[in-house]
Amino acid sequence: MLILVRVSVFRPEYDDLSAASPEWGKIALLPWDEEIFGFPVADFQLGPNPPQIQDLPSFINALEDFSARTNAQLVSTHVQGDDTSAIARLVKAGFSPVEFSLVASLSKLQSATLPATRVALRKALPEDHSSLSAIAGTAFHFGRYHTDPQFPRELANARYVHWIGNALSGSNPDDYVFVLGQPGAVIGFMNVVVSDGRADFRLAAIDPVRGTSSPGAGFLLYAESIRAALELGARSAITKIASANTQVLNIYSMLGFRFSKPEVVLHWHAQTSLNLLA
Amino acid sequence: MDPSDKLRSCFIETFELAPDVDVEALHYQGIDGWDSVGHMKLIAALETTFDIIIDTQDVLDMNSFNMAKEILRKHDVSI
Repeated sequence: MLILVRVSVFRPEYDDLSAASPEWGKIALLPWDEEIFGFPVADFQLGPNPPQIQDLPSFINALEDFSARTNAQLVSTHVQGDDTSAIARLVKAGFSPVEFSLVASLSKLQSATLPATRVALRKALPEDHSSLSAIAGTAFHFGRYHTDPQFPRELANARYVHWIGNALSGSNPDDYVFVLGQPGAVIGFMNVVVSDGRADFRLAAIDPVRGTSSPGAGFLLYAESIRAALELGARSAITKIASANTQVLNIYSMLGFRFSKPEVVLHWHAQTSLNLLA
Repeated sequence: MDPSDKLRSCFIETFELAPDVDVEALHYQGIDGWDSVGHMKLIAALETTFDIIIDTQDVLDMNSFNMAKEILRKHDVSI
């Protein structure tokens, strides 16, 4: 029997951070981000028995060893928002909180409080790509790389430019980019993945210039994206949102979404990094 | 209530402003409540109060109290 296995070179491969204490958690380099940034970054997932106060010197050594071995300049991790004990220990180990996020969900998409249609979104066209890339490269203020004061803004922007380019490439048939505005006068976009009846709203942006002079554009973008997802057969919706992004939180709230799973994202920086800001 | 007072009232009630606020100086994102969500509430209030339907382009253009006046004039509201 022939078994075909699709191996992605961008799939992170997690391994124990510490061979002596595997229960602390697993760490992996993030090849997708490394390709964009030009230097390695990693993700650490806390294990069932995360390091305690007495373990911190060994934990810090393990992080430094990993960084020295792989040249990782930054290690991210995330914990539940109410796990203040874990947050405090991670801070003592050198991590800094960079983002607080929530999951917004709507289990019955057809029950969304949608206003009457005023403007229909359209699927992105090839002639939109440069406008969408320009918006992706300038519009974002949230996301863990953008809110990390030591991370270069141009690299954080480049990650979203790469993201929208990937979404527009057509490599995933479930990946859609909806556009508000006409070609040459794009106001904003929404990237949504619709799969198994669920719409995952992943990335949205309003042109920082046109958006300021187009009141209501943000609300129309989100409301019409839900309508578009419904037309694609979605029955529920989910998204992750920075808790500091109150304008969008208010939009989701008005549309009927509920919020759950508060999470804190923390970054650890290699002290000798030449790629990060002081 | 004349149309000018009705318009003024739409802004004050939608954005929960003090009665003596200088509405002529109001503009999009110039006050806390006038964000994307507040804007759509304002549009709904104007459409209900004046029994009109505001075009999408006018929704996106209405970035100040004075612009709201101009848009209402297009709907033959004497203001």
